[in-house]
Amino acid sequence: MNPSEKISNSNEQNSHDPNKWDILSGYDASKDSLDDKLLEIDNAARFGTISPEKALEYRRKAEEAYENAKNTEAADASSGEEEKMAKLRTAVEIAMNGDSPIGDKEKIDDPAQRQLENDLLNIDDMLRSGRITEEKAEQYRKEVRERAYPTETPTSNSSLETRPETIDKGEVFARFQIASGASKEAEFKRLTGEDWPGENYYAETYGVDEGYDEPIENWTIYKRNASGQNSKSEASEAVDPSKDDETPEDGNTAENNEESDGIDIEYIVEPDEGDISEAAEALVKDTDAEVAEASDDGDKEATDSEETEENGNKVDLGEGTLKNIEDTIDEDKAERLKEVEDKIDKMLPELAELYAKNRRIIVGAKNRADFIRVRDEYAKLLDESLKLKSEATFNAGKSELSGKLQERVDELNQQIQTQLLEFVGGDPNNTTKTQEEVDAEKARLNEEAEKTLRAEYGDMIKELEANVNAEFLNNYLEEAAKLEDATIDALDNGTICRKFVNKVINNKVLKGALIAAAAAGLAFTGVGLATGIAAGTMSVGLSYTAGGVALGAGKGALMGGLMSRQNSKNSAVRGFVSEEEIKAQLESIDSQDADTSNVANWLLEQYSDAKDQDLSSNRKRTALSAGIGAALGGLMSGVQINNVDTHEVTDKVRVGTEPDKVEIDLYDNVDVARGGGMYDSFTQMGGNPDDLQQALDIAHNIDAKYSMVPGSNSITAGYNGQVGDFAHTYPGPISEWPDVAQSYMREVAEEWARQGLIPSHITPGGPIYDTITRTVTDYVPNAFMNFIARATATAGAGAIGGVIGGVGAERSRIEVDSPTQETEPTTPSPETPPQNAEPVTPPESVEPTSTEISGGAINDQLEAAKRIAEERGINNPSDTPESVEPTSTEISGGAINDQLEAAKRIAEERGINNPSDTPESVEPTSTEISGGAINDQLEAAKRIAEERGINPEEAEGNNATPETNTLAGFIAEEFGDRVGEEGVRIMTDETGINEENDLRINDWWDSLDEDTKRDVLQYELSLGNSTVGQALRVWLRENVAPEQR
Amino acid sequence: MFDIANNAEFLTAIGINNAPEDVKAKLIAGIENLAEKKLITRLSDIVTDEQAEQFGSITDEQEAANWLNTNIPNFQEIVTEVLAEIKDDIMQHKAAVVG
Repeated sequence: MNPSEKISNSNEQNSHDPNKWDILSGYDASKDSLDDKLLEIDNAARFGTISPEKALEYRRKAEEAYENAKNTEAADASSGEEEKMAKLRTAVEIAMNGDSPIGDKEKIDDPAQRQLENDLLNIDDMLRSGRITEEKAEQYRKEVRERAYPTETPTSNSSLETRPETIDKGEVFARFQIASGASKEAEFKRLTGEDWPGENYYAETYGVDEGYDEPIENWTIYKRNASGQNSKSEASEAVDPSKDDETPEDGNTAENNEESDGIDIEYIVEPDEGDISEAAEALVKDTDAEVAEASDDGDKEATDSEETEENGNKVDLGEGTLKNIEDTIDEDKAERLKEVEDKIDKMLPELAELYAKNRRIIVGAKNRADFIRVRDEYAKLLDESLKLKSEATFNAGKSELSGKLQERVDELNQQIQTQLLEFVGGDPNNTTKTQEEVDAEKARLNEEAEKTLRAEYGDMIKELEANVNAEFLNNYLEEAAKLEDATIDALDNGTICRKFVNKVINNKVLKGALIAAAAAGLAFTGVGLATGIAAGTMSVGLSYTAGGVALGAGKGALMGGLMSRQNSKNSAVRGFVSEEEIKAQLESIDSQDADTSNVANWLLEQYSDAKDQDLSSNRKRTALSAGIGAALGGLMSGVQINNVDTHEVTDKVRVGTEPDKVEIDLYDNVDVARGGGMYDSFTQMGGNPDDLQQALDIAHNIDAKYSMVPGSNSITAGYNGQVGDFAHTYPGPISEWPDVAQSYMREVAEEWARQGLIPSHITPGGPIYDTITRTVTDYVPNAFMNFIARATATAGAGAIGGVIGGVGAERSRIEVDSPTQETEPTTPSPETPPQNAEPVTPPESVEPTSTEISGGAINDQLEAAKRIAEERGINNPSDTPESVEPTSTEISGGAINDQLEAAKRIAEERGINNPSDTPESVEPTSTEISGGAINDQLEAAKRIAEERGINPEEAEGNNATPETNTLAGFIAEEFGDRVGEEGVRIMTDETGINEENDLRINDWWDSLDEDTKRDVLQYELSLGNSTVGQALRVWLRENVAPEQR
Repeated sequence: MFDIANNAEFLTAIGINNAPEDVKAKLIAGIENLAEKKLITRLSDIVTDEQAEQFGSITDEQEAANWLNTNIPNFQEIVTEVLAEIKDDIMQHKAAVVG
């Protein structure tokens, strides 16, 4: 559209004679809604049917009528508000008609005020049509007010009273909107004939309409007074009532008289104007009809519908009512994201250091506890950060999308209007259609348009989600790489880890070799990424592979894997393996008979049920699915299922013909039963089948601890991973591992026990525990530790979930036919002798076991040692130590003897020869360990205890005070002055290392002087691992360098 | 490298198999970079001092690759584990993020 066309329209609009056509005709403010009427007026102005000035007049009149109706009783009241309103009304009249009843034209006919009112109208219009937000509208209002009256921000009611001198920019000459790509300078020149910024004309913008795909600027051109006068006189001239042609009603104003003011040229300058022009004309036409219809006087002559036929129906097309369906954007999260990222940045070095420390066997319990804590905290923060970033990405995309969407909404609304117009035959004022028909058609079109919109929106969202996923991955990978780099940086120089990394990380040849070997390996072995990636999958696959079950093993593993993944708590995971896929896999299996498929189908049903459970049952679902997978694997992989309708497949699994009769005890499933993968794998490693459940139970407990928390897979970098690494590195039984690895395994077992991960029958004092920690030669620990190690090593901690899943998390608590803590240790079974059995002298009479190293335990040991000594006849002072064996690490008479020897030596060195404390009969000849000496020592210890009122029989371990504990008493005597009560407690603390103890010991140790530290170390070392409390023992190992010790 | 680009299931699992090629390529590069680092650190836990010296002295890529397969028990399994670990970790975080 070009200006002249618009002017032409404007002239047409201005042909409306308000004397004949009055939009307020029939308006009863006491009954009708003022808002509706104002909207109607605004719409008429919006589409150019009436000029803004006229709209303003109508608005004021409508408001006045409303006020009058509202305040009928107070009509004659001379309130300030009424005065203001009266003045305003008068001012409006003057502005519109150039008539000033109060004779102050200059003041009232203020072009700035007029412009302000017009701008406000436009802003209201943009707001109502949803193209700008309320905030934007308010901002624009402020801007236009400020521009009109720079020193004040007048309201429409008060502006006349406070109005300053008018601004010297002239009268409004024209207004236009300009879209992206169009030149405001060119448009300015076209309208004014002057180059930007112009001499006789002045342009200014009054806000940006952001409701379009590209922002559209609103511009107003003012015509300056040629003589440089301000606009006052020109304004007065413009509103001169004698100049009828300057009133909005006059049709020739702008086109014929460029000197006149207020030419209403309002249009959008688009790069491509044609379509918009047509659309705008159509809209103008439609709205003309609408406004005309709204006019109660029915004066059709006032409209431009010259073709009106007297007998035609008049219908209201209304406007398109399709609403935008976008959601609002949550912008408040940006701040939180920054906060989280800051935390992550701060935490990263700490975590990296812990990761570094948790490599190889240098790790200790202290580091592990910190590691787990920090790792979990980091994982949570990382999740939150990733989530916030993903949301931000999504919202940003959605915000962009919303622009497109709004554009489509507008297009579709316009399309609806066009279709409606066609529907009524082109003229709503002269149509054969009834209003009902029009409404029905409108509803139908609206519905169709909404469907279209939703479909398009769905596609947009889908694309957006894909972008968000990609962004999520990108963010994750960046963070993970950052952590990996930081971990490498944190590796201490000089350690083998660091040395190796340094050798490779910057060596192109070696790195290339690494990658080449990796890629070649993958290609060659076809290592089951397809079947072995997801947690659980790998382990199920492993169990069958390890079990050497050939037929159908792959299928079983595949099924297990599919089921596990399908049933993962991760919805995204659920998404990529469909139930159909599982069924398809089932059908493709050349099962032995149809009944097997029935079973499989039933299992699927079970899975399906489990899947529907809520999130809190994730573990159950995961375990169940894995269990089902394992069961399927078992069914498919050669467990003798020839006829599933008659018998128990194994002792543990019963399968009936009907789905509802199938019973699979997930605790005792086929995998654990003979022929099952775990069974074979376990027994092939030398495990006694009877112990398989114990091993699995341990794995279950470990799994419960580690695999169900975010980031749990990272545990592969921790000691679970280390166990796995050892298992890889040293394929043989644990007893054949290097000492350091065996020691590590012991430590792992202790740690697990401390954390309550190991069932009671193998907790300290339990036979299995003792066997592990003491000798590491029994077949039981060999088997189950190897088993766990391999499972862990193969798929990380998460894999244990699969292993356990194979057993089923919902099984009832294992009933272990094993001795309790009070029970004596088991000895290797004669049928399956230890693989690396060393001569061990069982401490038959020592109770309880050495793992209970408390004051009471020591006392017990002393008593036992005394008894042993007596039994062996080593009560003779001439007896020599040679007769005592084996070594101190074994709980035997020899060990006790060694300990006593050391105790004696320390006593001697420290001059503890006070008759009141030491038996007179003890000869401080430390090299001679005689039964007599032991006896004497024991007697002395007893006597000391008696003197101090200590009843050894009642003394209890962990938190025993020096006053109630012989060992504590001894330590108090030895070290009390130097280490204090806290030191004595620490030195006798049997609760093991934990965060609290760690801090306590740290503080305490720092408070000691170097001599005392040395003495404590010497004491701890001289008597072996059972002298000081467990907490200190572990702490010292972890925190004091071997050379210092 | 790691042949991830040809592993449709892996890519599907992490939701990028149907992504535009340029996006996919960028993410695969990120995964491989991470896998490479993890592999190196994993191996650093396994090799002995002597082995590290041996490996570090090799100057031929093929020879070095052979050395890895010969001297690192279950080298291929470790590679698989590293990728599995990455995938699992992605899935877990994704679960936490997406819900």
